[in-house]
Amino acid sequence: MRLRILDRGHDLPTRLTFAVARRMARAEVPEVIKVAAYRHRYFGTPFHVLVQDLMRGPSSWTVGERELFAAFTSSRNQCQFCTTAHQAFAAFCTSDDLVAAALVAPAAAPVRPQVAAVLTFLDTLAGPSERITADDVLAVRAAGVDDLALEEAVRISTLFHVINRVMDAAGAGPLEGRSLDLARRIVMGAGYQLPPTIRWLSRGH
Amino acid sequence: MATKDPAPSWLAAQRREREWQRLLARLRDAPGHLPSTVRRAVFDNAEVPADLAPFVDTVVRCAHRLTDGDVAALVRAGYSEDEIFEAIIVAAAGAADRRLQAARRTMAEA
Repeated sequence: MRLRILDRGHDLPTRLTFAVARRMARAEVPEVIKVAAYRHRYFGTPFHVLVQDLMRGPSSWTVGERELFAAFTSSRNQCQFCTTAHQAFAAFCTSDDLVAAALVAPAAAPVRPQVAAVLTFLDTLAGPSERITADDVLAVRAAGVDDLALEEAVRISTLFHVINRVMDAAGAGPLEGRSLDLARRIVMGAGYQLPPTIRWLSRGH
Repeated sequence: MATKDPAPSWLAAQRREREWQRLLARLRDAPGHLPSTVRRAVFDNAEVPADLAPFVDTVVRCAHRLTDGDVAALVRAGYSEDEIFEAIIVAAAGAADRRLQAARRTMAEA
């Protein structure tokens, strides 16, 4: 990665956790975990508490739909790392074809109309003006999405507007091969929080 | 797709906004390497120090276009890797929060 601290700046509990993960998975630790684990009390831990809540907590949206919102925002931001990761996670819940279609043409994707309407809204929100109009909101409501559900989807997208930029600035490439398999096993099994050995033992300020 | 959980309440939405604002406050004002005043400017992408401003603007607008050279230039200008790390995260959080608040405002008005 572009910042050496993200490859070699972690403290001892984090380095030991990474060593065990590498040995068990025979794969490199996914770069997002390296970013989140560095000074994790400043950004990684509180950020991923929010990610866990929105992506796996009580919601108007299924896990697959939430992963699709994440993949779509990441694709819109042209973040290769997050797009490859969340495209795979969304496909794990649905199908490769459905997710690929939704990323290319959300309004025509084979998803329920509420999801298509939200994807269209998120597409506009991701634009350079950082703006949205009343008509955009009314279109989502007309598709049968209430404001609490829309706000949830926007919050998911918001978290990915953060992490997409962070991963791109850090220089992360696409997530592939065994590292993608490792990430999918971790995220679809245990969720988004950092390993307890890092959360509890790493000072990380 | 998997079965969805019960939809959250208005109270849960308020809690999520408080937790998001707590994260933003930490990113801007917790003890760090960049002064809090600089981090606040980076968050707003306004009045950022001149040698940092182009980098921050690229993180905000098109982070995928950043190169190794952009980071190396900041290091040459005297920024530490920890300062660059904070600038990236705070700039990204600012870009994200402007979209969230624009959406919330418009939903309240529509």
